[in-house]
Amino acid sequence: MSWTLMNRCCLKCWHKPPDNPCPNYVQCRIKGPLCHDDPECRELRARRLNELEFGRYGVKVRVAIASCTLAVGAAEVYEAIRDYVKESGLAIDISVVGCHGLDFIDPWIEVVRKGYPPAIYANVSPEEVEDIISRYLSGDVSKAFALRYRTGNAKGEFHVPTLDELVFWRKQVRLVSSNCGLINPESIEEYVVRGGYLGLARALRMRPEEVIEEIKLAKLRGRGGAGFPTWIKWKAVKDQVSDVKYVVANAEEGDPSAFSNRLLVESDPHILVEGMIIAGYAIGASKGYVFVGTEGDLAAERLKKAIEEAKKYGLLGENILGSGFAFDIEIVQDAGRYTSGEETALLEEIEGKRSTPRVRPPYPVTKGLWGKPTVINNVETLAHAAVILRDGWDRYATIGTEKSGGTKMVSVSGSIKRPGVYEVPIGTTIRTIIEDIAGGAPEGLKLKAVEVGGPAGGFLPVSEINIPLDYDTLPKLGVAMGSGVLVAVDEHKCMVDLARQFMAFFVSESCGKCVPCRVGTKTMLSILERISSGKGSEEDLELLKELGETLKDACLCALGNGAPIPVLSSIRYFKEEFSAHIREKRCPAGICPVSREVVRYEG
Amino acid sequence: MIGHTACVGGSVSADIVLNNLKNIERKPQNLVKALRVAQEVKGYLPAEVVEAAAKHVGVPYSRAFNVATFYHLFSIEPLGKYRVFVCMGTTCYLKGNKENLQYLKSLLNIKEGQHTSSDGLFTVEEMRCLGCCSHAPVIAVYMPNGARKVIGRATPEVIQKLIDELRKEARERGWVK
Ligand SMILES: Cc1cc2nc3c(=O)[nH]c(=O)nc-3n(C[C@H](O)[C@H](O)[C@H](O)COP(=O)(O)O)c2cc1C
Ligand code: FES
Repeated sequence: MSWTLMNRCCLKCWHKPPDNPCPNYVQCRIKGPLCHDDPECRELRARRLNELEFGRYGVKVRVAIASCTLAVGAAEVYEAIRDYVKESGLAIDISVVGCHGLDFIDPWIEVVRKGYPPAIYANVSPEEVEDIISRYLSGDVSKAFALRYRTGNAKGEFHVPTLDELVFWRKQVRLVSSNCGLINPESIEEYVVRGGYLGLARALRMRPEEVIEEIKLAKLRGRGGAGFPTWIKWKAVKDQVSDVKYVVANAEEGDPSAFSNRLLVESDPHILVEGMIIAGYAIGASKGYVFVGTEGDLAAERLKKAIEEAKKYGLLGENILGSGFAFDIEIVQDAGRYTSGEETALLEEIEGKRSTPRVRPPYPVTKGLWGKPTVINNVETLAHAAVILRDGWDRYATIGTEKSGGTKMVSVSGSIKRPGVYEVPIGTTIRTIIEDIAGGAPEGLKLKAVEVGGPAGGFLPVSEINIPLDYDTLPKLGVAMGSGVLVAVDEHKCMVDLARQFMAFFVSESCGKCVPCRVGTKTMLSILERISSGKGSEEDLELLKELGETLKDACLCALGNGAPIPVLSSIRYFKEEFSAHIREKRCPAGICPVSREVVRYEG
Repeated sequence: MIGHTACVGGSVSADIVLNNLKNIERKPQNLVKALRVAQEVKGYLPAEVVEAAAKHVGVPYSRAFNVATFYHLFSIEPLGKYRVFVCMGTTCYLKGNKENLQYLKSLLNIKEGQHTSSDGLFTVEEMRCLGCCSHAPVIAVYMPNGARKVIGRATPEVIQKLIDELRKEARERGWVK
């Protein structure tokens, strides 16, 4: 393999992990050489930077390979490009990147050439590849979906918008997702070129309590659902006296319709690795686990590579950057259970048992993995920590709300023009995300409701979506921010049916350990089935509410506590639909079995 | 081991499973990992296999059985060569996977309450969210070689084509006539 920025530039470079690591190794990669002055070493770096940007021959095709693009044929597109390059003999580099989150343009590719505008092509089919590349090489970008920037010398350039001119890009603030879709997830070098591991380098020069203070001032709250202030968790574990402590990254992402964690880990695994090392340093842990979901094969594969590379260059392992701090990361993959994402159940599974939640207290911060103090954070939370340490809290805290700093990656899907993952400041209104960014309902459809936050988040009617997406406002409306899921529901859907479907989910996923959840969800489901089949009564609604309130209070974990929320919020905002089923024995959308006769078959 | 299926059929013997477990460090925390590997290699978890996994990581059979019967990925009953998962996550449900599921089951002649086709090729299961919700409705196939294939924007036509392809592959491999 040829020289990369991660290697020594000359024999004067003395970075030799783990025995003799250079504390300035990360900064030196792009700004260096720092310990000696040598024009040749600078030149070497400049050449390599150029090569990374435009490839070895000045032309490069980036192909987005992630679970989302693969589901719609990205592998075939990749093969078509490879074949075309081979057959045509063109001097072009092909590189794999993760995904931007603009899923409505999957599968997509980007062609770059020195001196020309980098052009993104949408919904590419294998048949189109040849035409796209040859046109681009002839200087014509008119068929592109968007340009990354303009250079003013390509044909058709001014008929194609730049990403920044597009509302779904412009309204985002991409802090943690800034590398997604831009870098090769399997290249530590590309991560470092974009400022990667600078946060770690900075953290290691601070005292652990200063790192925690930084997280506190940044007002970072957990992105896994509950919005718990991250610094409190970290400090609690740091204050514990124990020879062994752990950092656990929660990459389970079990919430149906949530896909932002997957996208982040698949597209930029190093940001998670960096965040975990920082957390480990702050709390005094030397071991971390990443808990990946059942469907997380690609994420696990890329993480594994990231961990190996970080170790190879001394960013993970013993004596990281000469600080004396040691850290190691192991990957554990779920065998499929929704409860596995619950923090204590997750610990059980890492220990090799059934993923059922533990009774708390004690909390994981005092007795976590194998009884040792443990910080469990969502992967996005840890990625934010890396960004905060890189940029400084003051810059970070200017984004977001007074009580909650920064951004959140939201997963938008359902009846929507532009499904995808968008990173927005906390406090952005749901309407901005749904209508401006994601483009509202597709042609011919009208939105009725938005499912907010995941299964335990709840439904809001479209009339109420003018509210900011944050941890404090949403609960006032009976819903929660959760994992940042937004599912657009159009008028042809039935809220009773959806509430029933959610309850069926909770019934099948309840682990059975506590009675209120095990029995309560079943009872609520049978009532909902009664209503949807036209046999329900007004008392049933009262019963649902009463049971719902019981579950909210009495269950062992948030699965049971949150299970009634979709039902309660549907009753609260769509009472007339329930009434239609109960009084008129009619399903207005024609979906529930009460009106089987008029059911339409939608293929 | 009462009630737990003994090893039937399948070309993979318990020895091969054991062989694959070799790379897994022998400690109780690796039970889930060992069962994952066994499930993948054997295709399901008969008593002998669960016992082998339990022994390998040093836990009692009862605990291994307890875990093997908890997670969705594991099955103690034989499954079809191809495991077809139909996503019933919120978005896929809204976008037509309920109808796709019905279609798939009728295509494979799988009756209500059953999961595996009579030729033993396909097992159809519901699951929730493959994380490709933007391309809902989504289905996934776990292939006999351990590979996973995720298919977005599924329609009855797409499903029919998929099943035809898999059947053809199965015939070529001599799994069915
Ligand atoms: C049933 C259930 C499932 C959960 N699933 C996840 C999950 O998939 N990912 C996640 O980060 N948090 C999940 N959580 C929340 C975790 O328990 C925990 O609060 C979170 O990982 C903490 O990280 P944070 O402080 O960074 O938000 C789940 C909670 C429950 C009750
Ligand atoms: S809801 Fe089906 S892939 Fe997410």
